[in-house]
Amino acid sequence: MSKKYTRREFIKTSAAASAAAGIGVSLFPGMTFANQSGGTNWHKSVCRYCGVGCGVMIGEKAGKIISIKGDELNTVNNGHLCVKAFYLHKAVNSKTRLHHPMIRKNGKLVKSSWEEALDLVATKFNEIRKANGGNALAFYGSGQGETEETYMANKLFKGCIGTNNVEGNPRLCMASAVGGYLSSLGADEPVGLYEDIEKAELFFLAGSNTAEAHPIIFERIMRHKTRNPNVKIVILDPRKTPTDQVADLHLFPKPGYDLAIFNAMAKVLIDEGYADDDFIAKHLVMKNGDGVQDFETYKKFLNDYTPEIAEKISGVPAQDIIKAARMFGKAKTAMTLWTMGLNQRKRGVWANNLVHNLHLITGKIGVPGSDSFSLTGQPNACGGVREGGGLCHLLPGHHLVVKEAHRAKVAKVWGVPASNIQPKPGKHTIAMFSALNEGEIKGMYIMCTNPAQSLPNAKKYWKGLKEQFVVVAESFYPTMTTEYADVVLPAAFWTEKEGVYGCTERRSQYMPLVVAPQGQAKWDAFILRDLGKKMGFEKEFAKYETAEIMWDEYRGLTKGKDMNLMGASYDRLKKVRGLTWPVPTEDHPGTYKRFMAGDPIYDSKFAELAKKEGRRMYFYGPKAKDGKATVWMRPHDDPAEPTDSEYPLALTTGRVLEHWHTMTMTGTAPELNRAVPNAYVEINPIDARNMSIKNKEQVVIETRRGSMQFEARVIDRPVQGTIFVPWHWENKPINVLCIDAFDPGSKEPEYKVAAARIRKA
Amino acid sequence: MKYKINMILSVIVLTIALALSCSSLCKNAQVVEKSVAEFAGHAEVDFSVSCMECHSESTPDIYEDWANSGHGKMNYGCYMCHGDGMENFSVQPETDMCINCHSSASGHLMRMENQGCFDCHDGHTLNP
Repeated sequence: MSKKYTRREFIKTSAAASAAAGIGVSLFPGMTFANQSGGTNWHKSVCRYCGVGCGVMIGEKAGKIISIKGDELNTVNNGHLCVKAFYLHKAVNSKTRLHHPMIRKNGKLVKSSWEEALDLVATKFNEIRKANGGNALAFYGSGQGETEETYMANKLFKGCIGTNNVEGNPRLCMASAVGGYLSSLGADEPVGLYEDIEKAELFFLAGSNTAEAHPIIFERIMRHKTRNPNVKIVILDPRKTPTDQVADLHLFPKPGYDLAIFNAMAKVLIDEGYADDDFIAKHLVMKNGDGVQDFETYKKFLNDYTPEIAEKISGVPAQDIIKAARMFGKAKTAMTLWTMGLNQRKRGVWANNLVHNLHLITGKIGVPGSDSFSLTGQPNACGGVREGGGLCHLLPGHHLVVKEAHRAKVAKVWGVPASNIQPKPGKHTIAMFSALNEGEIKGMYIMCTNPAQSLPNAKKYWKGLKEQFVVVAESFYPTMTTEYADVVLPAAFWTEKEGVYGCTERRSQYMPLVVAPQGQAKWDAFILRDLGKKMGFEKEFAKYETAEIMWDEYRGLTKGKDMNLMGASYDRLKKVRGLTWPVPTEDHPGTYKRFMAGDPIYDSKFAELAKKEGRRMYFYGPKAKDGKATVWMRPHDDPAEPTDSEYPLALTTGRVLEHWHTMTMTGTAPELNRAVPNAYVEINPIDARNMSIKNKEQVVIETRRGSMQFEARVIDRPVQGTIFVPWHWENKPINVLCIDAFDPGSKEPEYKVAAARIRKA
Repeated sequence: MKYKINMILSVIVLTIALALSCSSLCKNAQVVEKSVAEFAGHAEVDFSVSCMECHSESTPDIYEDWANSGHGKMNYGCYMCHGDGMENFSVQPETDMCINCHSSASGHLMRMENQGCFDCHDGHTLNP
């Protein structure tokens, strides 16, 4: 399966050609002044990149997307954009857009018709299903797919084919946050909204390089701190990042050794009188592996995590842990923001639990300016996958496959027998790709994601992708995953389809279709619908003529649920800048804080009971009992692959500001490529000196899974003993070296810690 | 004064670019050998490193101005205003690009009538 050129080479060639053409005709080629050009139509939409959910205005002229600007009426970003969004129009118009279906013939992908491609997929899938059962098929989707797209995939695979082997890449980034919210607060997704940022006195940024991964949130924090110098910021991260410019205190733990720090902070908070005893007594239960315990047992548990003990485990000085706890305790309001640093861990759920503990025991939750608030990496991980049920144990609208009543309810709406939906969860992502390797899964449909590059220990899973029947629906070509595809289907891209994205703060926002899909590209939801029809489910997919029909059917399933979206019709979403659920009726404005006054579910069902019990919150989610949140006693646990004498360095990975995921989109903007042209490895200067490695020297990183060459960047960023590599570049796919061990609860892999060593190239 | 400097620089860039435009029409085959930045008078560009990496050493004062500005704090680099250097490049960037990221300032800009953002705000410090 050799390829003729890489995406990067293709883009580079295109850029040079554009430059040549440009100089002949334009003074400043590429620097078009779109805002001033007449005839530009502006369309309200949502950014295609991270989970912040910034409002954007799409500039369209004569059927072409020519510019993007911030939507000043959107409360998320107030008109501001980060550098990635600024160049989104270049992704739309990229030379790497795929315009026609392709089928692999004699080892090569060749152009085909839609009819031929879909016939082939339907025939192969039906053959596999007939010979091996529905569980020999699988769907792997994305937190970038629209809710409507994931909805169609769920119906086809879970409702019609009859397999729960439906997963999505949010398993790789948000599953631990889901597990944390469910087990601690009883329901997934945050209590509050972004508007807490401007009301917070303290920010605890734990495992979040906010400045680069969520720049608009960072800008809001920075602006708030500039206006209010009393605002303090504590960072917990094994690496100094651009976020540090606003830090008042930075704790540098060894990667994977921070659980003890959270417990030590909780101990200090309690010992020094910062705990909210009344809130604890009325709103919380304490639990460990043996079940419910009393508060005294929790305090005894914390005795194993004095700041001094935590220092020994984590490497963070005890005095800094005490200082951080006091800052958290003294602040009237506090927000903890976290992302992959906590989630992508063997004990990601525990890390999440321990963050929630800090807020619960101090009562810094359910009040303006206080929240334990998970930042999301993808634009619709919350909306499409967590809420839309795009994982192997879920059904749309926070329903579960294991619950008979849920299966019956969803099956009725789908118009399929309830027996079609299996009662047992399917395979989670790593298990799914392992099964593909082993041939247990023989056919896979991959939509809007690039697992050949993004999976941890990625090379291990290329075998299954190569050997089994793999269909890839993508807007861009080539990618590392299309290298292995038997069929590649051209998917309409953002601006060429309508649908809904749900961002980090429970906000669902509508995105319009602005221009027709390029070439023969089709909307993913329609591809899945048409595939379903070809597979024999004509009746089941006959009604889905529009995106609105899909959305309305989906939001119907949310009626009465904690994530009630009944008030979020297309008509309404087209007019407003999103709605934050629960939003039960068309005249409801959306909810700021859940589980308390102002939340329509609380007001209608639990306010009276809460008042009787003298409570200000009632955690009514499906996993909470008696309306109480849970403080979990989670002990320290080592990472899956601790460093040792053979592999003495901890390898950790992450993002840079200018690039996103596997660069299928940011790689189309020459400016962003220019900003960070190549991958590199950051090495602490002391480590570099000890290894006689100089800045810009070529080095080889080795882990138990392989080796890869990088340019060394000797810089005072990673804590001593840690190396950092950004993960975006196709020619340096660092995830090949990452470990695929995963959290036993959330099944999210431990991308953030692997044992490594370095030698000169 | 700043306006005059801008005008002079614009004329210089305009002249160079026009000359190169004509030249490129005559020597099509050679056009791609140079980046647009080099055509506009920039020294030879090493595209294997970022603009920032060179300019932190070659123009440290400008780099510092930028680093301490709002753009610097957000790490929004040279390319945002000046282009990537390969496909597009502008010595004196036009300011209507600013509005795409600062759309909430469009009313403010409208009131400035014929002035651009950089007539008041320094391009690197962004002051005042």
